[in-house]
Amino acid sequence: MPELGRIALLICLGLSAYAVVAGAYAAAIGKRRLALSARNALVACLGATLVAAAVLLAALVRSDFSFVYVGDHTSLELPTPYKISAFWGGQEGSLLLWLLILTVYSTAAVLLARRTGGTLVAWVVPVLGVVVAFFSLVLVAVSSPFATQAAPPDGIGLNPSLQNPYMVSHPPALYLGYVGLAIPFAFGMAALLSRRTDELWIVLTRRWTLLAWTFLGIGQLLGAHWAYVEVGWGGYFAWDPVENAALMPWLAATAFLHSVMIQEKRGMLKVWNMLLVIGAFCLSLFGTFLTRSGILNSIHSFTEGPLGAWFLGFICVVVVASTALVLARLPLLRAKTRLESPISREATFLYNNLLLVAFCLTILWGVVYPILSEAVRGEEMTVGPPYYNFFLKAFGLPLLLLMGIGPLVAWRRASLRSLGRTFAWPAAIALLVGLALLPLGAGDSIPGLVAYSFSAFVLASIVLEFARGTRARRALSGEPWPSAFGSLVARNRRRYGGYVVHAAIVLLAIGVAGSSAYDTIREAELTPGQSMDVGAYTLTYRRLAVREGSNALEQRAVVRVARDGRSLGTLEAGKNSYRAEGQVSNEVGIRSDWRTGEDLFVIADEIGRDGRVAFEVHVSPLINLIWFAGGLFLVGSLVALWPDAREQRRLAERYAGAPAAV
Amino acid sequence: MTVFALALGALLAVAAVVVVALPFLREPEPLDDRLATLSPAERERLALAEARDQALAALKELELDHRTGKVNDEDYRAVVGPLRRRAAETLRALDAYAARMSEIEPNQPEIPEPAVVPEPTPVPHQPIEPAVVPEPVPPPDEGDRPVRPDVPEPTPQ
Amino acid sequence: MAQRGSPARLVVALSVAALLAVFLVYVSIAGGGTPSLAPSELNGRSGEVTLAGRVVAPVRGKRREGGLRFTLRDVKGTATVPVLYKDSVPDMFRVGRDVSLKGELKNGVFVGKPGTMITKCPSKYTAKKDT
Repeated sequence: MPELGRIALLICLGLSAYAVVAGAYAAAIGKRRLALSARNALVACLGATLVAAAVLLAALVRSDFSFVYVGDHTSLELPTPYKISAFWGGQEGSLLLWLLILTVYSTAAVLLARRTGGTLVAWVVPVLGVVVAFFSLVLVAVSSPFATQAAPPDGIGLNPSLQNPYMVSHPPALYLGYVGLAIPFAFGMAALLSRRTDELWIVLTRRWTLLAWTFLGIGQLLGAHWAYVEVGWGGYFAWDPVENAALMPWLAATAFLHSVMIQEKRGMLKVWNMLLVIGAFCLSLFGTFLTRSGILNSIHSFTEGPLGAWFLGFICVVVVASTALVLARLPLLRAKTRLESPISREATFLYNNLLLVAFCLTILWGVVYPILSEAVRGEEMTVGPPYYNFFLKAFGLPLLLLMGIGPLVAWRRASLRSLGRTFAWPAAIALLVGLALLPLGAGDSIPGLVAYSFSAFVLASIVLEFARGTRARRALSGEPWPSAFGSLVARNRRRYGGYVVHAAIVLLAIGVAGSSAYDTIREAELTPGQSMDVGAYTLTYRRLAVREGSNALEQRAVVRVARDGRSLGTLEAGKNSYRAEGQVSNEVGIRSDWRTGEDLFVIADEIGRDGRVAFEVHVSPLINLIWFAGGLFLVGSLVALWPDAREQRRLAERYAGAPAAV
Repeated sequence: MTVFALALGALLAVAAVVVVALPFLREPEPLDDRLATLSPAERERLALAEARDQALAALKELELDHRTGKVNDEDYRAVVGPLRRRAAETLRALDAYAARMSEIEPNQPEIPEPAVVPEPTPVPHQPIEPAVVPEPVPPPDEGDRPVRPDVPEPTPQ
Repeated sequence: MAQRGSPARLVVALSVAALLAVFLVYVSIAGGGTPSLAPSELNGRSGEVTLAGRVVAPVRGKRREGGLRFTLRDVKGTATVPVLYKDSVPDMFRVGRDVSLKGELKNGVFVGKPGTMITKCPSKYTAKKDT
């Protein structure tokens, strides 16, 4: 069966090459049937990739160890869900997943756009074809999942730290995000190639960008939660290069989502948007490169192989070619209007973009610096969390404030007087909150206090927006409040969905500020019966329980938790010793307080033979807001993504005048 | 197993070739094989339509901002005039374009007229334009029929 | 709308300059990272550096009683250096694993800074980390 997989990938390579060559020729010369044929080739790539993926999946589920990949990443006793997740557990399989998602997205994008797309789609096909061809080439020639061996009796198995639901959800969510950024990129390049000056490419890819951005966000939150709960050092984000690799395209995509609105409403920033969409896509390729090349000291690195060079080469080609294209088509991208005032919603969006891009670039610099310094000075310099945390505060806090200011400012030009009036309530609330928090100890961390106050400002402005909007709607239609609210949101999904997402980001900021600026950590070595105090909690170590698990020896320190004299139950923290793999994992005990959102996080650092346990205990305030924010983020994105029949009709009317082409 | 795999592989290859050749198989002798491109007339119409939608959207958003208090009465009065004028301009431009198109219809320039063309008239629907002004593309706010009636009349301030 | 060189351009340019200034000020004050070295490159180096190498047996001691003692060897070489680390190690830590940690060379022993060790799992995607 591996032969079928190899053949399928080869066919995919051939089809994508055809899609590139024939598609480009057909679009340039203007041949309808050839363009259609190229599009069919791109769609057929999906079929070929599905076959290859099915072959690998079947081999994994059947534990066919004649596949090297199956032998390296599964074992007979591995539960089936993890056999399936082993698909993306290794380098070759994750590349195949990339290709699969890419072909699914490409097919959907190209087919959905065929009616309104016209000349645009004819060029989208070769651009997407290039990306598909690259990944097919790498899978065929460099890193094949279908290498075979004499089947050993059993496989090496999956690292026990990867045997959890996060392994099943986090990588696919991230990939759905990374790959999704290829679609707006392709449409943008196609717009330039077809010399179109209208906004069709943005209109067609708006939802694709939002979808990819949402998946990237959710994927990162899943990763953070995984790190928090399973890895257990008390944190959720460590500025590891691979964590940064996902954050950077997300920041670029956030900037793009906002600046695209300016282009739609005012016809400005066309060049900027092109560069942003190129940047976002290249950053997602770069992120994939970082995870694969082993070039950095990251615990996520795969083996160092030739793949890194291939990726780097491809990224360079994409950057050079797309930038050259933008330069060549510069006259087409002339702005229709100018920025009229530094105090307007356009200006706030611009500042937001500048901050996001600045933050993204500082992270990029931090990630790339070790590589550069090694090349230039022969010495690899590492950059640590203090660098990133500084810029998170320097750029993040103003961004937080802008989230509250932007929606309150009018387009084109806002007079200071009207600003004063609209800002009055939110500013007052922010001030009150800041002052109220001071006696509660928030003054211990100035950035934390600032973050809280800004958050209050933003939340107040969002609530006000909803309230004023609903009231205005009621005045128009006379509906009762709930129905007015519903129709307000339904008629302005992007705006109000966006506000919900802003609220989610604010909650995330509060959670991050609380858990990083105001957390408490205590360490103590206890014998059974002894207690320790952490914050308001008293922990009493009762006894050490030892259990034989299915594949590991489980040691758990049973701890009784009390607060203000009242018992809050027990929790267990300890370690698992996996016999087969000879590894030890941390199993932390977490107690979440749902009223305050804070977590009591207990790590059993060292377990002595005599039952002595060295505990490290964290109290992280408000940390559960982060996970809640993730849910709210999803809700907001869904509202913004939801198809709007009226909008679709208007768009169809606007663009349907053009004759249907491919 | 290998033979089976190879047979399936061959099948896949054949299917791929068929799918790629499909457009040529379906229309061995097409009346017109030209990829429909945007004629200059189409480009003009698109640009006008986008300008119109932008202008109308800006008006709508101004109304909403005014109603929710972001823009006070003074600023509103200062901005709404020029915005309405702009919107009227774009509507007039589109009307003019439509009129021009219906005029020159008999001697068509290079608009392809193949028998199989799905959309026969590239001309936008003339009769609808002035009466029912379609709402702008990004629906910034609600309100079915806000200030529409006096748009064609730019009142000099 | 009068186009007399709108002030907006100036404001944008100033904002960009401000952001750049923030960045440059930080980098010049806080410096640009610590060098990452292999045991063979350590020789007599002073100051805080990041040391990366492979763990070699024997591993002795306990974190709380004087610290963990082990030896790090060049990943691609034979040079070694004794290491003292007074913190808990990541779960992936074992003989034969590649690790990196920050610290200073003191009297021939590399004294690791607590909380800076990370392990690298060869050829397997892993998400474990200890800060």
